[in-house]
Amino acid sequence: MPNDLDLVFIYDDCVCSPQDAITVRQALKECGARLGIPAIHVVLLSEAESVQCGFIESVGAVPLKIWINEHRDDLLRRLIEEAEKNP
Amino acid sequence: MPNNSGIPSWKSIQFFENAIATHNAVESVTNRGENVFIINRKGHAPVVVYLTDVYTVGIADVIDAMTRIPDLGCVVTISNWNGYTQAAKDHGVQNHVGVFLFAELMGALNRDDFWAYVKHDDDGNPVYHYRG
Repeated sequence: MPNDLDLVFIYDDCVCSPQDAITVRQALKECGARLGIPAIHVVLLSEAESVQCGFIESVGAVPLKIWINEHRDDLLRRLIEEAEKNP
Repeated sequence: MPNNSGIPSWKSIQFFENAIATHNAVESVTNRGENVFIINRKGHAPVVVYLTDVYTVGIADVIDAMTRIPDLGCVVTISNWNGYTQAAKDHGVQNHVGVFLFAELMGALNRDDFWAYVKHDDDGNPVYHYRG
């Protein structure tokens, strides 16, 4: 389980405004803090930007769902610990 | 004015302030807080810089900074390995907001139309730091 997590949030700008994407970034950071991940860096890209710069390929990003599955046990343990600390 | 972007380290901020202060066109630098700096220039208008350390500056970052900082002049991502998207750069230029890496800002500070500054290589070709 890393202490540092780099995320890219790719949004469809027809349904998610850039301001909404900023709000999502803040929510992801807060979520990470609750899971005990001190540093979450979130890059925000529209779908068009992501395609244009080939971001996913260039950094080897994997979908969050796969990452969560790989770290499920540790994430659950951290959530339980957090819940016990702040019931 | 919440800061939702990549937050530069204090070392980066110190580096930024020291390096900018040595620029020939700069009179002084003022830290306005929340990673916003006013660069007072000799014979040119001041430039308001939002300093970030986000890996790739996207259009959302530029729009967010423009919304939070009405007198914004530049978004600068401090690390040399960072970059920006073409959409972010274009949106900035259209709105007279420069989107730069630190080294590009140093070149831009010599110009009145600093937001439009583009570095050129030895062959005269424009050099952008587009991600990808």
